[in-house]
Amino acid sequence: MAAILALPVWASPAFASEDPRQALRIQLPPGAPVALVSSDWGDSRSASRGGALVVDLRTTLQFRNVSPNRIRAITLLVLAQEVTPGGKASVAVPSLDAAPGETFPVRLDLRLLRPVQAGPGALVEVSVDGILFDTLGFYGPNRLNSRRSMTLWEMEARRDRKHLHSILTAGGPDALRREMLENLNRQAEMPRLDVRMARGRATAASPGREVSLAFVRFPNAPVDAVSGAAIIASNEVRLPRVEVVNRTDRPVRSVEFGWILRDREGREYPAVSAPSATPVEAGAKATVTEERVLQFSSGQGQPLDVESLTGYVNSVEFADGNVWVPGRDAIGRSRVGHLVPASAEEQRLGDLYRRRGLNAVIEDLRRFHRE
Amino acid sequence: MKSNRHPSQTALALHAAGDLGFWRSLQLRAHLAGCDRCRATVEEYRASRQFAGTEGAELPAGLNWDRLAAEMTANIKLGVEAGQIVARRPASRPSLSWRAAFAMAGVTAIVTAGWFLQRPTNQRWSHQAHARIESRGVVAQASRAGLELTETAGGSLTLVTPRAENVMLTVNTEGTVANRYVDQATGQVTIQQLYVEQ
Repeated sequence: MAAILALPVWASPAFASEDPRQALRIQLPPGAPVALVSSDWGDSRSASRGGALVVDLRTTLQFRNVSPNRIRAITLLVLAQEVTPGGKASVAVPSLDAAPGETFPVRLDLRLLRPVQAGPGALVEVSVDGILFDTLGFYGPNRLNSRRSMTLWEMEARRDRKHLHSILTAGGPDALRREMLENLNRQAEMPRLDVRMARGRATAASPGREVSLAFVRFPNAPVDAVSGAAIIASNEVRLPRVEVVNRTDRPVRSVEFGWILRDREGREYPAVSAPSATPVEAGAKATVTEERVLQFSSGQGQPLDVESLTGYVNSVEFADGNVWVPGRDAIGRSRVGHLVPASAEEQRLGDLYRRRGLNAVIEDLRRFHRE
Repeated sequence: MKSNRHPSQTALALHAAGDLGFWRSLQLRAHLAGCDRCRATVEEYRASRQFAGTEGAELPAGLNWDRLAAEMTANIKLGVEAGQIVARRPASRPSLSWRAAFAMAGVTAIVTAGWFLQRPTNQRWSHQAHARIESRGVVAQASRAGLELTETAGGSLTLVTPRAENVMLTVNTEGTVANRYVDQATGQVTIQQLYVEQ
């Protein structure tokens, strides 16, 4: 039976007028590799507005790594079944480096809106969906498929740290500084779009036109896209059908595509990430089909006239849980390199550089390199 | 030509912004040609400007411009007063006159306004990125302020995204939206995610 830890939200005067047990419950099963050490509830509060209750839960949970391995990532599942029975949320922290016995924080900042007359019980339940170790071992129920996500983030982090460390070794601090600045500029210049997605129904008045898809191939990719098509009508894309081939002798569990959209004025945007749990046997072909309709508009809400789509294989998850990601050099040399979103690790190191300078980045890279 | 005396940080910053006078800029370029340290500093100023441009493009729609203008004026005034205090200290070089101080304050104001008014045209596409997913009576919406899950019955759950320098919003076709940012309090990358179809 899961050990249930009801946190003392009710100790806060702000919750005095409400049933404190309705606030938040954290579930950690026995034998979990983390233990909850403390929680700081800051300015959590609740207030009635008309017939509704607004609850703000702001807390920093301190976990201790009680496993024998270093923790690289954690994903917490957040459920508010009474309020939003059809949906789930999660808060994940990748690029961690928590040694056995060390503590690390996870911040939760939630707002709930629910009818005042709601029944008793916890409003929000928080539990561990997954923990990834430096051995790439995994713990957790994996209800959100967090194993794949966290393994992907870790593989990208290792790739990017290795890339930056090799630049530091070959060219010294000045070369690393140039690379960091280029990364920051690339992140700053990345164009963004508004996206609206629905399941399988067209909304545009026009029936649309079938467009053949273009693909960028990264060297050594275990899966290649052979052909594909999508229906495009004005700013609407009915998601593509892609035929893929597994070029390895290992079965594949899922393939994630990145899609780059080009408008009629020739501007390109990173549009959407499309992971697909389509198994592909070793050496075999498979067709990936998505029943999705996507609508794109500019920041001002103007519909974007979509001209074409270009895809690339962003990651491949094998049946054994290993994940392949394209190499940094391959991305950099490709036509779409400047439109591939920065990894979580690039974002973290870029922020470290801007806030604490080059020496902090060098120290961080060397720390990971020694491990 | 390599000068042993490094230009001031102000001169480097103005040069990075293209706001240094022609002759002074020419002298400074000669120094930069032989000085790796100052060249790196200029590159950092340019990168900072790039970020300021992006963040400026992502200012919230409900921003109180009057208050911002008042704060900018106060900051400029504070900068001039601080400059005057520093100028009272004995210096080996002639200190700035009040005319020069006001001229510099003017430059500061113009540069700041320039960041708002002369953003590169592609930057206008990078602000107010939103995403919305609808499925089976549940709507997930994402903006850089947070992720909101709403039921047709009216209840909602919001993951509030704290103020962060660079929030990356991603959508995937499995029916999830995510905000990724570096938490300024912990220095950790944090990824908030909503799932409407899993």
